[in-house]
Amino acid sequence: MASLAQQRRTLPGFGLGLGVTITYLSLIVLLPLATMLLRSLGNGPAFWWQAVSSARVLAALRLSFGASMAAAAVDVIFGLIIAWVLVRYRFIGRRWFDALIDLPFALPTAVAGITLSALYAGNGWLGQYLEPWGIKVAFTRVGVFVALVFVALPFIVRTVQPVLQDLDKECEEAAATLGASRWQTFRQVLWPSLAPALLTGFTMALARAVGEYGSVIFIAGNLPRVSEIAPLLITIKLEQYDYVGAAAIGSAMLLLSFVLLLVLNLLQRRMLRVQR
Amino acid sequence: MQVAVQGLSKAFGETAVLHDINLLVPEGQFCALLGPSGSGKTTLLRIIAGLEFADLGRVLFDSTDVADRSARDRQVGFVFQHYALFRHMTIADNVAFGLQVRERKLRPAAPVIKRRVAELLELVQLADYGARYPDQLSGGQRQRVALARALAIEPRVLLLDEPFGALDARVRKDMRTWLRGLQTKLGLTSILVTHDQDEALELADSVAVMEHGHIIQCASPQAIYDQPATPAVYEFLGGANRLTCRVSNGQLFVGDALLGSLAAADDAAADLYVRAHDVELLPTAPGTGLQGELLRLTWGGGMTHAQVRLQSGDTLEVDVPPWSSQGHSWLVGQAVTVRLRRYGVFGSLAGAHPAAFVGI
Repeated sequence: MASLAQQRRTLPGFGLGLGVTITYLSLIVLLPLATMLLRSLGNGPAFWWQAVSSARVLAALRLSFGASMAAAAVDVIFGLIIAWVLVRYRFIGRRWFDALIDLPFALPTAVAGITLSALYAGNGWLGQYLEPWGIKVAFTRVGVFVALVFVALPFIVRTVQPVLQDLDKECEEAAATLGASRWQTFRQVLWPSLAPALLTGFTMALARAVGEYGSVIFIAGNLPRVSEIAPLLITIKLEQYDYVGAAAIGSAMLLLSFVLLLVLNLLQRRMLRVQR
Repeated sequence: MQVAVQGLSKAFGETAVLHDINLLVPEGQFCALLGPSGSGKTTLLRIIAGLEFADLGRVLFDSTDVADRSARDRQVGFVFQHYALFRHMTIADNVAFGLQVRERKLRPAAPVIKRRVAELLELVQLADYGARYPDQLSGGQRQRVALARALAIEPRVLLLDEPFGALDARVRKDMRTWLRGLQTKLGLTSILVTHDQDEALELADSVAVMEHGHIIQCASPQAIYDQPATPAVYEFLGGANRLTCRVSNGQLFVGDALLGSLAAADDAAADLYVRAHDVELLPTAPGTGLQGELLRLTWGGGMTHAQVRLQSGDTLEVDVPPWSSQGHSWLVGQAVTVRLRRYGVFGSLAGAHPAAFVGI
């Protein structure tokens, strides 16, 4: 490490750069997280466990992580298709569609939530056709899922797009002249390059969806143990001045997220190692 | 297998890239498509491969029209300029790809594939590289892998799109010699796209020179070099001096100087093309050749490059071999005589090219 820093470099500033990095990360990320963890244990581990293991909290955590994973998974499939179309084809309005992708990023989440619940409510534009089929979206778990699909989509499209752009078209042509079918070309030539990007996109989408609040609460109906997400439960606890209980749920979410991201990162590293 | 292209035309939107192309490559022959970028040569090759489709005309493999067959079903070996190797596969897997993707009935057994890959890697002199990845190889090695991969499917014709374009000059030269040897050994009908005239002339049995979507001349390398069909071919094949000349009473004049007799239309202005190494530089000798003044001398290793201003006002590039001056040294500014040893004359009227070639 020391020898690395002492080497003469074209661009100086390793020491300063590292210093800024550590200070900034500590101040902006580590310190608040540590404070929350400490806070959550303020009334002792027993209280923490009790706060986290109540049926209502467990149901909320299950819904938050379950719906997020489902939404991220669905977005992986459709995000890939969208990115493919945007990169590979030239059609009228392509740039317009491309700009549209970022909208869920930019929109205040509450606006998205209100719009979605208006669309999917029993008398809404879409809801009135779905309801007769027995499909209730607004004010159910399906609503949570729909809102998360909406907010997570840009993460997939924007991580896959550059990778698709960099793919060598000649490789596909080479595969074709060698006799490969379209599916074989996709599976054996394209997929190995796409998979790591898709996994990155999935991870980011998942992280965003787990923390999502604004767009979900309007459409979810927020029935305890049914369609109540964990971030909402935290707000409720805060409104009841139960700071320690709120911090406990927060720390549980942090822990789960950390484990998930760790697993996904390990998976990705393995994937990249297999293809060098 | 013989490859024939008949009456082929192709446009991308409004821009026509190929006009009524006819080409015949007999079994086992090596044909080079030579032309500047944008001449349509790559598009023609891609149409033969089935990677692009023509608007009009036919592509025949022996006597079967392959027009509606996709690249997948044509069994052609295609080598790309930038190799197009599969980066996440080992060299051996790359070479095996074409066999591996065959449907089960036609796929050789695993040990057979393995043996075949070993043979091919042996053939391209990369026997020990099977376990490596493309990124670990040099450009020349990668192109040899691409060739082995293309040969694995036992193609009926080998199509090479600027295969040495991305390689440095020395490797390119070695690869050229090596490829020609390999092609002769395999007896495989091959078509090469290149913009490098040396490559085309050295490798091919026949050269088709292309410009603006037309084949302007298709002949053996020697015929192309010695008797270019148009000034464009002259200029494309290494460049040549152009002198304005005049034909009068069966005599050819450059300025006032009589060059020789020529059977061509009388009193016509014409262009004379002569390559720098077909001009002989002499100390002044009145009455024999064109008079001029030595403008500049540049030492160029084997040849000295001289620039001569003729009395007619034209300047002429001359390659002077080191043995030609016979101990006498040239001085810039001295009066000299040049003798044109071999040249071509083209009528300069648009469209009409009554070409005449004079060689001594």
